[in-house]
Amino acid sequence: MKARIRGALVLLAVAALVGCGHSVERIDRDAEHDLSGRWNDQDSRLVAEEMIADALDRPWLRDFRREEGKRPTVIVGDVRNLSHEHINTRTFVNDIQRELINSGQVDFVADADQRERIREERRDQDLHASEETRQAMGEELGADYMLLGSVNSIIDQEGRRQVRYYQVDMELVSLADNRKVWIGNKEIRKLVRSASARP
Amino acid sequence: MRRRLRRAWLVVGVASALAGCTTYGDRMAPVEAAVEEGDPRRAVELLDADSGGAGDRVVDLLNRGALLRMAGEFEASNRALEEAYDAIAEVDPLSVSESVGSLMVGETAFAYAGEPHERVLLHLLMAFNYLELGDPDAARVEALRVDLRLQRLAAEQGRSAYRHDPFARYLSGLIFEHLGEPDQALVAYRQAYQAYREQGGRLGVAVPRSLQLDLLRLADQLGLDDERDEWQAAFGLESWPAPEAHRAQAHVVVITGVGLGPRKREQGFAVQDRQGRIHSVALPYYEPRRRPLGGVQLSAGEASVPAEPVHDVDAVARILLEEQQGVLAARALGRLLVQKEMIDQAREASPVAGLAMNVFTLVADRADTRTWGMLPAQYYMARVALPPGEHRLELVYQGLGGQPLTRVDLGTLELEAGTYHFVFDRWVSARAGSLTPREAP
Repeated sequence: MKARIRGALVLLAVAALVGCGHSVERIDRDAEHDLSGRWNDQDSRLVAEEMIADALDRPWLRDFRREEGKRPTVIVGDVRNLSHEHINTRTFVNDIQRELINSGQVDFVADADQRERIREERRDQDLHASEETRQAMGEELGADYMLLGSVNSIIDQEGRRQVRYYQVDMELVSLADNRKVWIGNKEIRKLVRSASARP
Repeated sequence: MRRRLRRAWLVVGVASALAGCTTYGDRMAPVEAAVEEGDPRRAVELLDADSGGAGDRVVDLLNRGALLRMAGEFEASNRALEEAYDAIAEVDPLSVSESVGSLMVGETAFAYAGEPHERVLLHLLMAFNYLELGDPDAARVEALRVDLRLQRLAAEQGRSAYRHDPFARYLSGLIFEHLGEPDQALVAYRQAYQAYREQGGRLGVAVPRSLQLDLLRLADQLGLDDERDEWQAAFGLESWPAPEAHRAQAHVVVITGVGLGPRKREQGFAVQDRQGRIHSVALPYYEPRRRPLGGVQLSAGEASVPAEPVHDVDAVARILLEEQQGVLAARALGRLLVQKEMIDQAREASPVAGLAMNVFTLVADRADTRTWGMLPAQYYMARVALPPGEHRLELVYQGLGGQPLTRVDLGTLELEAGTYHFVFDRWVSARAGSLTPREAP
């Protein structure tokens, strides 16, 4: 009898330890995992994909190619976070850049910080690289358009329920004459219910 | 004789057990001493070395965040405060097991989820940190998060004297103005004014003069003439900065936290009933702290302006505890009944078990003395408009008689027209002076 009780206790202890264990599981990139209702990687990726697909399907691109006979060059400017939560806009900007570059329909130039670092490297090459391999200053590709945007949110809450509404606005502005050639927006709405009790 | 002996054992047991049992306040004493000696980094190490259990996670993170901010580690401070924000969301739903536990061992069975004013101040400290880090957009996020928090506060604390937070609204307005959003700023200033007016009497902070001037100027700027006239009649002010003059000048906002938040202690009493059971009731109270500061003065060259009190954290904490005392006392009485039952059942098994259970209930039932003690007791704000150019700023902390206690060189600012500059300081005592690390001038 005593042995049985001891056995049951050991089993219980093992089960408890297994239950408390830390685990890591690799999940599919496209699988939906919205744990908190906040802006997440999937929102960022989906919004970037849909907005860039919309941007590339609009007349400005055809018009530019017809008039200039080349692909437009785009730079990503400021994407401001005006929402209720700390959103890493850098990952969103990266998603947008990836979609634009992979479309093959536009050329893309480095942003201001990256350009400074690249210029520093060219200055270094001027001093240290051989003449045949040296990259010259003043040969940079100037952008035709700048992509600007913002992430806004409205949160409506009552008790333990919250409706989180995100609106991402993007616009493409011509650097030559400040014309806005495309404006797009994407909305996401989430209903979040938080628990009223826990164990 | 046997009964006397049993009682003597009980008293010895209780005394020795109580002596060995420390409250949160006891645990924080060395941390607080390090801050009062002017060494917040050491205070962080002491806190980390003696952090509490899972139930104390929120209060430890809050204190850690405030200490790291004092030490000038703004990013680390925000990481701790963001963790505290998430941890609060985790422990906010009522716990069944903690509720059952609280019937036996008191309020400390509940995981600490932050007092209402602490949940607001968490966002303000994060906004301060982001402004120090030169990221006003992130500070704006905190202004929006604080708005959500304040909406819930008004719904949850409808009957409390602290159902609005005027300073949080005022700071939000300043952040909006800093980012060139005067319409949003006006909304926040209006809410701040209403909240100061409503609570000023009880919470000891009057409507700051600088807020009155902001309301008049913005109403003017946005062409709200009727509203401006109403403000003018309400404040009795004859002049305020014209919008054009405001745009032509640079604006310095100095916010300083002074002193330390109130220290929570335990007070209790024990009685013995006719059956020999000893019952105790332990309730928390805030220990009075001396306020050594008479005022704070900001000087920038010829200009010198007094800083105004904008938030009395100490008064808010005391009023909130006062409002909770009825509920805490009722729960303590309910606990006595449960504990009596537990002692009686143990006694039925054996007198020794009864004795042990009585000792256990006395030792375990302690007042909840957890609090975000590393907050300042008060916040002061000084506003000054200066012509564009270089300006050297100095902050003078004055004693109750107006004598200077500490002079703080805030350094030289390069100011541009139409911009806002936020400068922060943290002063704990005349002995420690300013804790804010600054580069040597």
